[in-house]
Amino acid sequence: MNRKLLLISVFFLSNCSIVSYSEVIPLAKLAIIGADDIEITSEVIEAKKFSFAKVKIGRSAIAIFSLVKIDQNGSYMWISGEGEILTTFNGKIIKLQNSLFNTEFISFSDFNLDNIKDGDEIQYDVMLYNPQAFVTQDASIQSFSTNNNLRIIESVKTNGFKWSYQNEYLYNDRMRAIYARQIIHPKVPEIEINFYYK
Amino acid sequence: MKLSMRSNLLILFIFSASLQGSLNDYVYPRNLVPSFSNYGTTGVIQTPNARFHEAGTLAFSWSANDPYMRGSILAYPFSWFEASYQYTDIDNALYSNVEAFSGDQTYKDKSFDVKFLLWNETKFLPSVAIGARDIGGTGVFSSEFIVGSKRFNNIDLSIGLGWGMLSDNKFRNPLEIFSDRFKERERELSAGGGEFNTGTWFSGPTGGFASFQYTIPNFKGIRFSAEYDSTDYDLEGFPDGRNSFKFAFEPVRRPTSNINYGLMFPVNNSLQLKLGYMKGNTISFGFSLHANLGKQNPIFKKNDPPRPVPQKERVRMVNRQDASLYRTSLRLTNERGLFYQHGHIHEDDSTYEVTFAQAKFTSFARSTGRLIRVLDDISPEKIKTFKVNNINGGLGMYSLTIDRDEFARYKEENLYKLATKNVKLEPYHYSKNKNDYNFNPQAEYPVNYQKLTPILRTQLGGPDGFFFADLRIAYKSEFLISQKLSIYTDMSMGIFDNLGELKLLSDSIIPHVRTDIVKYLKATRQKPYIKRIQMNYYHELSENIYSKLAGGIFEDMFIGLGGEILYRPYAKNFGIGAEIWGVQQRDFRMLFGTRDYKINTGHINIYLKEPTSQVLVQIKGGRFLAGDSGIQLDFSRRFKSGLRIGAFATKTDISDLEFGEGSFDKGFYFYIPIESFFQKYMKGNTGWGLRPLTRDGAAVLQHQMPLWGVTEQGQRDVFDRDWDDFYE
Repeated sequence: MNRKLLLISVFFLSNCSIVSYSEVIPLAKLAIIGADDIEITSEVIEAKKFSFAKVKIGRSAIAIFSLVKIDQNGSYMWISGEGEILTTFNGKIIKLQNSLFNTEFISFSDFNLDNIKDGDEIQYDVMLYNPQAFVTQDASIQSFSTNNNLRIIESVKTNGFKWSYQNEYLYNDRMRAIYARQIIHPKVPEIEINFYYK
Repeated sequence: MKLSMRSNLLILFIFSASLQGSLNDYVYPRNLVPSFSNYGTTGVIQTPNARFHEAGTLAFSWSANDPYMRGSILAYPFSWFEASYQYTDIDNALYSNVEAFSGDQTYKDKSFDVKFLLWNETKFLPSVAIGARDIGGTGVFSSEFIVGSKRFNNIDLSIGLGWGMLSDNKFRNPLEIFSDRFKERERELSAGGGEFNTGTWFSGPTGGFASFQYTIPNFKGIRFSAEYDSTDYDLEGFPDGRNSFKFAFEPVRRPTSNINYGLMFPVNNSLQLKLGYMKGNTISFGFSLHANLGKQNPIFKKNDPPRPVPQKERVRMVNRQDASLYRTSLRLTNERGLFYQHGHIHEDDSTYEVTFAQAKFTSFARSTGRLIRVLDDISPEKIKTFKVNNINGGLGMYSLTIDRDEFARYKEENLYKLATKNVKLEPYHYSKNKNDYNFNPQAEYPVNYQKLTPILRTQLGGPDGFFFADLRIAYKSEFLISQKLSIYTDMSMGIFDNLGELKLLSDSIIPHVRTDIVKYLKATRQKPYIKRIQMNYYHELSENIYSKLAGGIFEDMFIGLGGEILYRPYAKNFGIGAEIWGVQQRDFRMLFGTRDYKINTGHINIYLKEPTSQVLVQIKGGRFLAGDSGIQLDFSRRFKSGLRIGAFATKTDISDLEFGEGSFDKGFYFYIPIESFFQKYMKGNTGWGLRPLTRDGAAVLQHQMPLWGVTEQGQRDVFDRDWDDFYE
């Protein structure tokens, strides 16, 4: 959610005599402080029937996505309570659906943990929506192994316009993504994901 | 998978040209979003261009450039029309030379600007617009212009002709060939303002201006602007200090250059920041906010989906008994904010008729669709048709009949056009005879809906100060005695205010029905006051004829009794009504006391609606609160979200002298649906009305819930507008 729009809303509503301030205060808090974190305790993990992911988008949105499908190509599909769908491949978001700014990676299979190594260069074809554009990205990979964990830093450059950023992925000893921090659309803030598997 | 990827790539290749085009949206983000000039309206730095925001956009723009500081509110009722209202603080003049009257407050100028799009940009032709600045003000900024704008990728070029203040590089007015009236332009500063100086429009010498805006690639959409400025700074404002205006105290810095430069940074889709260097010696800066509040869900995506009925197969089985179906319907619809009033299974045993009322959804197509969803979930197989009736204030609104199979068939895919193709929508004449229904749940009257909420009373732009505010805590309630009889209460207690400095007293020579506002405000400082205790009784006299009786405290300044009648034929785009009120002026303390002034006021009201554009024209003719008689014209447009933007003008039989400054009443307003600011649906509006001056002439009684609004929800054009909400 756009924080500035939230602040404007609060400003508008200060003149609105119909709305109770009990409805306005949470909006103001969301705009100024950001969304409340969702604490994932062992009880929460225990209570969940399926694997899930805690997804934090910028400061003002935080949600739980549940795993709904694992595809044969190794991609995982996650869905939020509000219907947004994330598809990940080795922790990398390759598709975002039902969001204001959707994204789809047309090519992503090179981000394969079996083959990937430090210094690799990968090219992605990406479809961005709102506005719609097809872009090609060049990514350089740095990988670090520590305590049976694998950490990958992906430095991404976009051809055609100035959009560069770094993504980070962390994998456990079973090579499953446990954490990712990544950018997928110029208009979406950085997305942080903690994965929990059942 | 590989095939699929190849086909995707093939499609991408085929459409690569258009995709490359859209890549520009990332290289030059928000390139097409118009910027705002220092005059508040769309333009470059000082000069206007032919760009417009989308219909339904509201904007606020603020700028500062010595000696001016300007705040503007803009509205776009159409994509071809921009209207704005400005407050300009002129820093080289005082409001008056009487310290006791206005202290050291600097001069404040109010003005209206308008701009019309003549034609849109094509591949070869530019957009062309015509406009005027300061049309209803004092004339210190009055100018007219015609301007063309043509875009070449990330460069937007504009060139135009200006009159009045926009004619520094004077050349002969090309309009002289039509009339000698265009030869000379008399500059007559109106002392008070509020009058339309039409006689001078497009007259006098002409000036030429030009500008370009260049969006810097890959630089967050930042635009560099340069313009040739034709503003005549020897005329604008009070250029020579006291020689120009008796309250001015210093001259304005004269330009050393006609070329202005600027940068504009679109921070996001709504906020723009700007910085400029103008006249060769003056820095300007400012910001603007804009949003299209007319489109559906303009700010937040809604998160208030229909709640499906759990275990519906089981519920349907249980509901094979009619009594069970009625009770389940009552419970489940009420839980969803749809208040079940009556239920009736027809003799054919296949039509289930339900009468309901609701105050949650702005869209009645949505509320009706949600009600039918519930009925479809819980009704046994024998029910083949749903007939849904809606009432408001005890008045029958509409009746909608739909085939159950058709409703269910298109539900999942949201094919509302197919689902509503065979819907029967007709007027509903509400019968209170309980024998007409099989199931009449006992409503527990009286019902009281109440809330405590902070409110802010404001007073803007007076001589004694620019902004006065009164923060209060308000109690509001809607007390339903029966379906048709209700009492609306609105009272508040002051907490904090800065009204102490208010001292402007009325100079009106007709009854002070509005201009004693300062006395009302000051008498209720940090004290409780009653804004409204209004009792309403609604009744449908016969087919298409609605009536309302109301009494009590109607508004801040009047108490009384009266009524309204409206003839509004169903599925027609007009209505004719009449209202008459016997009212007495309230005491300044705003409790139950009254003053001596009494009047009978009333109007004949004519409503004309254009259903496609949702433009409503209201003509109100009759006797106004100060005893003056005349006509009010009100034009407004309603957008999909519920946003309404409108303007009004009223001329009555009092003289210009009796009316005072401004000579006739006019202003513009907008109402924004509250649900725009939330993820949940809710009814109600928050709004602003702007009029240049508060005068006593042409004042209308502000009674709550007029019949046109009450009967709006059942109209066919309202459903035609909102069918897309049917399954949402």
